[in-house]
Amino acid sequence: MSEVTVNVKASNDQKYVITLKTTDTVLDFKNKIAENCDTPADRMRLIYSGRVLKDQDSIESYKIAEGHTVHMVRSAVAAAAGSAAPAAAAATTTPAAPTTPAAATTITPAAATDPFGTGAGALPNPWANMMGGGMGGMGAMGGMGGMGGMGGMGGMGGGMDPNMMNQMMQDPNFAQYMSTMLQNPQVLESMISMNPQLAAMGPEVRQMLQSPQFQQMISNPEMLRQVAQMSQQMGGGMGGMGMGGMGGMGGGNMYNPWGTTAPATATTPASTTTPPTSEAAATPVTPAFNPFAALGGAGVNPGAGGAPNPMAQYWAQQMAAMGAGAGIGAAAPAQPQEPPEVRFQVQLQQLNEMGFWDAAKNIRALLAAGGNVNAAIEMLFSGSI
Amino acid sequence: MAKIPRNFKLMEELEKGEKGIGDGTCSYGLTEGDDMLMSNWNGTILGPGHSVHENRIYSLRLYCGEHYPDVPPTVSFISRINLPCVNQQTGLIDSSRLSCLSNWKRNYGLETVLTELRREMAMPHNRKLPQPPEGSAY
Repeated sequence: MSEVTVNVKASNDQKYVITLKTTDTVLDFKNKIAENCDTPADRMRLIYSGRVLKDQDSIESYKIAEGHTVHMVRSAVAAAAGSAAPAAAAATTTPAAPTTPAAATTITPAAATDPFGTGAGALPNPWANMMGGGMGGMGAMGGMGGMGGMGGMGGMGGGMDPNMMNQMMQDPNFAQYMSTMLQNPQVLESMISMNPQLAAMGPEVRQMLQSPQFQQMISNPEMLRQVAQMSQQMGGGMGGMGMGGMGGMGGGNMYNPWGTTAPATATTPASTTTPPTSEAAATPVTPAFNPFAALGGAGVNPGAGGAPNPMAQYWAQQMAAMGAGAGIGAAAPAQPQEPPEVRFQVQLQQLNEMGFWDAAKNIRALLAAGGNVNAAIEMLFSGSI
Repeated sequence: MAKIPRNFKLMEELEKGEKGIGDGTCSYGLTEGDDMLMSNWNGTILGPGHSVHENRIYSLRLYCGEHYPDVPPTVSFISRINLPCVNQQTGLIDSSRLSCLSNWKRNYGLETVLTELRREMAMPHNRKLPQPPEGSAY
């Protein structure tokens, strides 16, 4: 009877070193792992050398040897429950969630083409994910019904991975839906009447929302991708601001018509009280667009997070001035711990296509570059990664 | 550059598979540990997130013929999966429909095939395809 020391790599990047007798069964092995982690043995699946290990088989039978690595994956039951929970929580605690789809259906009777009709659906649905990862239903739904994508982006912030967003944005239904919605005076009216700030801004809001510029902005995947990248670079607080804030329109919640119904209480006072109101109300349409243009610039700039960068400073000021920054930052939950390979799927693919084969290296480079492919390539070439 | 002979290449791949180099989303190893020719391999792919494949583990069979790596391995799914490049009767992968097999290069390996397949699963047009129940096999 001999002993082997085996490395166990879990899907969440945790590593365990387990010493086993070769006569132990896989079940014994799982129980030993369970002593070290919070996954119960019956929810573990172990993979070694291209095989899923069966509980009743012995370690010997799989020829697991000293120093070898076994991968541990949580089984579907546990994982599904885990990932469904936040979405469900968002749906139940967010009054905005149920109301928005209703609004959506009034505008787009053809529910089949409505990308949001399935909002509460299964995980692969981008909106559902968003609800789980972002600010809960409020940001997402508010965005949808309200500012059209923008508020939604604000809500999602870092929670949304660029892939998903890309895909969503490339969906012609989405763009069409957004523009139909914004062109519909009834919708605008209801948005405006639901929010005092919007009402205070008067006709300009309508103009702004209906302007082709704005619509182009929200339907430009490139732009949104950059925003997503930047919000990742800037981290959680900024992530909350995301697009909504940048547009100078959403301000996360300032003008978000659903903002007040949302559970994100921190933002509600900001939207009902002082400085932001006056400032924003005083801000005519054009300046409101400026920050966004600047944002595009910042998005491409890999150093956007750096302090000496004037853009970053500008943003810091802008946010401080808006007063909403803090509230939104606080309301936005920390970026969900999606593995980088999921977050950077698009970028990884690009790197792969360019002939960078080492996935681990690519991920490190992308992490260091905050998801910016060009910067990552530079690092890969310079050999600093 | 000198060509790496078949067995050296496969030895290298075997070691990589056992040590679990990589991110763990794909795994592979010899079907029979005492297979001196290292022809028959098992592989698993952990379904990519944000897709119907999430949390599923797919098992595959890979066969490296005597001309590997000059010619690509033969790859088939053991677990049922609905993917355009997979023959729904046999689970065999249609080499002409998977670019890493149709444009096979000598420096590719089993890992390349598995990660490419995983990427294929995560493709926008594939990740929502209805899938047979988990655990069913060809």
